[in-house]
Amino acid sequence: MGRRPSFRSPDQRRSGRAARAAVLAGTAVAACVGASLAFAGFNSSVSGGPMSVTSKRIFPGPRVASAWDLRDASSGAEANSSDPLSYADGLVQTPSTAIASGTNRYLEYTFSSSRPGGISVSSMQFNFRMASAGGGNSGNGCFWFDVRSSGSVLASHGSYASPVGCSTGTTQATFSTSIPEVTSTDQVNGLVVRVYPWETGATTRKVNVDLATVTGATPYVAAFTAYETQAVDDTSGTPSTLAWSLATADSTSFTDATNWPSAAPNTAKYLKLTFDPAVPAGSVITSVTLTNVWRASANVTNSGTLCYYLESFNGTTSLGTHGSGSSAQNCNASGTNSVTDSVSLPEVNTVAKANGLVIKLYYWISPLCGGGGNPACVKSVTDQAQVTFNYYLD
Amino acid sequence: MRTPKSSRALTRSSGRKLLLSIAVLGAAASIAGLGTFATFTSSTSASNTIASGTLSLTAPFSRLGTGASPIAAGDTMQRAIDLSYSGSISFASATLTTNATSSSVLDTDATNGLQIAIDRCSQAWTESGPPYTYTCGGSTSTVLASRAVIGSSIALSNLTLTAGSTDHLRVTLTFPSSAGNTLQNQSSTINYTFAGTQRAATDQ
Repeated sequence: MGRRPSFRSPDQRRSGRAARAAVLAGTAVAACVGASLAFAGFNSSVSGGPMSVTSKRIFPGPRVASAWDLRDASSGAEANSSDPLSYADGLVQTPSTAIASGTNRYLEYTFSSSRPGGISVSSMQFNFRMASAGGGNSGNGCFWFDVRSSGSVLASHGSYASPVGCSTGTTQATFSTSIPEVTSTDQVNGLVVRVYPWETGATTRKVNVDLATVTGATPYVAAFTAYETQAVDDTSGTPSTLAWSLATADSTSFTDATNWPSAAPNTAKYLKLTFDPAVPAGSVITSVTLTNVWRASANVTNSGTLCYYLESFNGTTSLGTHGSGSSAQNCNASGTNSVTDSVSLPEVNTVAKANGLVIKLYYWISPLCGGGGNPACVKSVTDQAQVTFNYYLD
Repeated sequence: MRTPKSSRALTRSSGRKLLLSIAVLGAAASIAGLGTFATFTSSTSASNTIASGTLSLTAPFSRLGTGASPIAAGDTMQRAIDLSYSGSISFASATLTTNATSSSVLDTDATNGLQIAIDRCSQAWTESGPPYTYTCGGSTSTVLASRAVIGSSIALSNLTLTAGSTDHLRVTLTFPSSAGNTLQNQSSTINYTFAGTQRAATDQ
């Protein structure tokens, strides 16, 4: 069936199309209005809050500080037995091999992880004190270095052509270099600095290193020091590790200079440990614990044993004792097997006491040593001496 | 064959005739109708009153305005709020929308930031503190399982929703133990909006 012929003019057709468009538009609007009416219904709401939540500035957690400052008074007079790299004190570390410019041989220092993580740092510096070790035709000690974190080089400072600094001959010189590439305590903890030293003499000589530390500040601590826990000597081309003996329980240890007294401790004879935890002001100290890993320098025979007790101080003010001359904190007769003592120090309960903490360990051989039938007198071997500070900052 | 013009004239003429015929018939019908209604008449009337109800969600008791500072990873914050359906119409459902007027990683980190959970007690919670903690002397049910604190129109379940009743809720914010040091020293302000819609329409 064919379409009916149309008799409408072009004007009529245009008018018809307009009318149909208007109808369609009207229908759409009506549908929308209808839909909105259908979805309206009643509703009601009520608000609660606002509730403000703020997190602590430093979360609770353990921060470990080793005794980088160690004084050996086993003889009755204090001798400085501190980490040679932690203080500008004349105790130096001499790498194994003479080293010339351009060799790419290095000394690599890994720094302590004593800072709470996640905190911004400022005024960061690498402090290096060194000099030529001297000898015939010796010259100056020079160095450049790079800074590494998590296996990546953050920045390099100086070069063989432009050293960070040089000593004048064998006179120790300190060079503090800004390391702004270190921006967080997450980087400070375990930071690695690789130093490329060399000696300028006509006859290549070794260098002596007196100090290698990293210093800086956080929003909560005006100044802190990160001390080295491990040094790697690659001056020979074969890396060897020189860990600070008290930092970790490992194959390196510290043996005091003189045998300990017989029968009873002598308060003039001790090992003195000083810590530098840099606990922020206002922190709440929740616990402090000493870890002492130690043994005798030789087996104590004839039913004898090496014993100790300890005393804690805030600087020079006694805070408390743990054990005594009549009741040892612990004893160990073995010259090969270390014991691990964890001693809680509840008396260290303020920031001032934590930052000023000094511990003296008083050793003696019980019941007697020396002489016929008695065990031989021995020294102590300390494998690890560190304090764990648990604290937080609101 | 006619021209278009003569065709249009013919169409107009026929239209006029048709309209005139309709007009005449209409007039006649009207007159006849008047004659019909002119005799006996009677009427009756009735009226009814139709009033709409009210839908009202209120919080006669709320601890949600109590903040917490400073918190550490693993901390929890309990706050009670009573939701009353105080209108005359019951609710079909309720939702929770939360937003941070002051934002930090505490509310933007969906995994290690604040988590929210809501429980309902069949009777009023027994409060202790501050810091507030709550115990339920009746039975508890989960209104919202633990999830990130910020969300929009989060469906709530196990609510009474009946007009005239009250739901006793305990909102628990948890700062996950997994929160790392990057969440130290952060601050957020959270707003809570509970919203409900009316029950389904019925025959009345």
